[in-house]
Amino acid sequence: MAAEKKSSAGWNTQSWLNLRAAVQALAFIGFLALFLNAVPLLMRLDPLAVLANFISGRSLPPFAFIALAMTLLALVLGRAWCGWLCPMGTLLEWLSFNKWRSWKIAIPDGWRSVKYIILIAIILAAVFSNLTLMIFDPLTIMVRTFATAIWPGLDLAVNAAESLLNNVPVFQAPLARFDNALRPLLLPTTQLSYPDGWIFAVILAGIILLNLLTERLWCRYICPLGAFYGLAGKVSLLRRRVNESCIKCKLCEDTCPTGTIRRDKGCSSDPGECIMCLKCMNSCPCSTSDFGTVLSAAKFNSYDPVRRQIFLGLGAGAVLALLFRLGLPSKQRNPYAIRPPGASEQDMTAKCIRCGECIKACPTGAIQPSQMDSDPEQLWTPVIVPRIGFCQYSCNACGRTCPVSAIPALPLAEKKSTVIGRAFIDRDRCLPWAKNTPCIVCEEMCPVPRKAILLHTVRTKTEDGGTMLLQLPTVQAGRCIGCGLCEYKCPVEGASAIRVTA
Amino acid sequence: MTEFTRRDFLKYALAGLGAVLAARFISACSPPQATPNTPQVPTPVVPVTDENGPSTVIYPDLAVVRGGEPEALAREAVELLGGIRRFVKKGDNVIIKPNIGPAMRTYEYAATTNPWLVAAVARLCLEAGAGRVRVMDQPFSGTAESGFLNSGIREQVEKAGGEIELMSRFKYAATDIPLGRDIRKWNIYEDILKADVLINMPIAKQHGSALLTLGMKNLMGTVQTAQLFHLNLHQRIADLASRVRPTLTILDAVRILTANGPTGGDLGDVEKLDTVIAGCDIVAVDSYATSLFGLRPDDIPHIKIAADMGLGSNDLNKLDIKEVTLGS
Repeated sequence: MAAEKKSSAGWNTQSWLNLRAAVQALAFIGFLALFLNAVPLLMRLDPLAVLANFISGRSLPPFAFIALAMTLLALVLGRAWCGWLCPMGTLLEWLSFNKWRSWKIAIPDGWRSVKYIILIAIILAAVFSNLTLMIFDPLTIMVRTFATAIWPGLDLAVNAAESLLNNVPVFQAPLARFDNALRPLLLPTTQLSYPDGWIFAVILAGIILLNLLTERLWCRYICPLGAFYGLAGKVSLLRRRVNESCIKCKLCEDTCPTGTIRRDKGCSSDPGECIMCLKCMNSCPCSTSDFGTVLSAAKFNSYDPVRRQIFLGLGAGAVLALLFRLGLPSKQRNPYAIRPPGASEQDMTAKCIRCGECIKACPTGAIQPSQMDSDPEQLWTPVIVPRIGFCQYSCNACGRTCPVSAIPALPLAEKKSTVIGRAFIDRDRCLPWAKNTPCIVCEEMCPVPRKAILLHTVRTKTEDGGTMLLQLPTVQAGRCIGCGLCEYKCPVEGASAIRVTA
Repeated sequence: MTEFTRRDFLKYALAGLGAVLAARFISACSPPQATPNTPQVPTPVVPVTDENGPSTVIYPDLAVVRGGEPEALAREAVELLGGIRRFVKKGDNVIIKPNIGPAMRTYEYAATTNPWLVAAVARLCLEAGAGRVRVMDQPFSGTAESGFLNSGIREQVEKAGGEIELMSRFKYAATDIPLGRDIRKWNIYEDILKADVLINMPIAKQHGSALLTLGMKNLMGTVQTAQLFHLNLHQRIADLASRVRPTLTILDAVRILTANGPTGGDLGDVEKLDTVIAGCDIVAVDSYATSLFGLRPDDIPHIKIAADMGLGSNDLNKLDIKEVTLGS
């Protein structure tokens, strides 16, 4: 990668920057393509997710060799992932606010150790079979936010625009063609709702707005995946080099997006912080800064994870994991937190990396991220909320999509008979039971071959004094698989008169 | 990159607002869209003039065809009713409404309309020169795309040259139901109301609350929030049938579902009858179809209500029914 400034082939340092911009754009498009098609490759590229899942779940997740390859690559290229491929890194670069940021805030270098502390805490908590802190992984943040906020928001906006333009007769035919091309390829045909999506939108917006303080603040100080790659970068083969003829002009320091080039340190940089963006190489007026092979460990920095940081991380991880365990006895868990088919509560704590791929994969929008009202240790793990969406009978998309088998990939036939909960009827709310009104939508909807809702016909008095036959529904618990279609469709306003409980 | 100033922001914001207002203005200037009427239901008595002078042709009310492959059943049924050209003119915009309600079943379970039957009708319309033949339905227990896939209807219809339309949310419009006795307004799919020809293709199934799901019940796939129909199901089914008026109803009884409907899932509940019942009078088709289950028209409240509302005839004795068994 060591390039001369004026090469005979016309390839110069600017070409490297152009190449990087192109790779970033392509990688981001790749991220969107994987996201839209619910292909679980993204999280398998994440060595932190795979490592934490391996430690916590005590077994190797499928395709772990991909993450191993990424780690080996990092031993050559250091944090190149952050500067070239990471969708969060690319987003933060596109929305860097460099043009707007007229101030310079000096953040002490010591804060760089925060990301190492988070990394160590994730790993130690994983030893206690806890993965709650995986919510800090940048890829889980991206997928979760796109699934629950950005894509549903885009869908709402497009639908609103379509509804408005459909008032104009000349637009109607092209609109119909546009809509048919758009759905279900890019947007869902039915509207999916994610009541908690705003939380994730606010978090991502916050991470982006941190750029106003300093460029790539997230990558410098917080990102645990960046910390993982940073540790590899400390011993990586390919690194930035500065030779003796450097005139300390500070141009590279100004252009470095992670602020690791420091004139007071001889314009050198920390390979654990360098994201290989190559901007310094392009900005250098005398070609003293380049990238080449270095065979040694990086110099020690005050913020590097030794003693204090390691103990802080270990302490934080242990305290967190144990605090959660002190928590609620299982009886007090939210009884309506139904899990996707085949997923156990234990796997939700110990295997789920909170990536939200299942949320995107679910065609009915049934899968929602659990909140604090469930077990806080299982924050943002998938739960099915039937009033928002039901588990489609002949669908096993969540299990097929889960990158770490926290939701098992059940064959369709097995999934159809997998019990995720049981329905019960609230006779004080049910129309036939409470109000003498014919209804039985639940019975009609019930998708199992031998319906789990039984009907008892009784003769009852009508308001005008006559009699009529009324069908009363009851649940045959042994047949119910808890799909929640009855709860979703129950026409009673507010809380459904039939509910599924774990 | 140039700076994005406050002035720029205001400019773009004003332009956006202007575009919205312009769209509103154009739509306000457009001729007021009379709530579209559904296609007219053809009358059986048609005056014609040929070389023998003026006369009248009287088409049968119902065609019942038994014993054959779905394609042959469909063709014969339509032929008995006067041929496809009686209904479809050159360039017509045709919509076929099958039943893919339980989006999860394959056709063997008799929970969704037979795909070869739907394809045969689509092919007939195209042969008559239809400009466009679309097949659409909104299932109740899954996405439309999975419903069309699992039922096999997408594959067969596309082979026949028809289009599958996944119904777009923005095309539902609050529509008056002037003859409705309980519901007077509901969100109905605009294209269904605007079509030149609407062909209703239900499958005959047992149904918990409606007792049977036949032609009129099948129309519930053209509205939003159909589960709210259940608050007064039979009356509301009839009310909807007063507003959405199919040109032709071709009922699939190749296989019928006799229990655990309308979702099914057990082949033991399926009976193979190889029968198609077709007619322009949706009430008459439904009335005849009750006999497949050993019932009488009056056993199904919404059929009785619809007949009382004058939407069609439930008196099987007074109907002109042509019955044919293929290959005999």
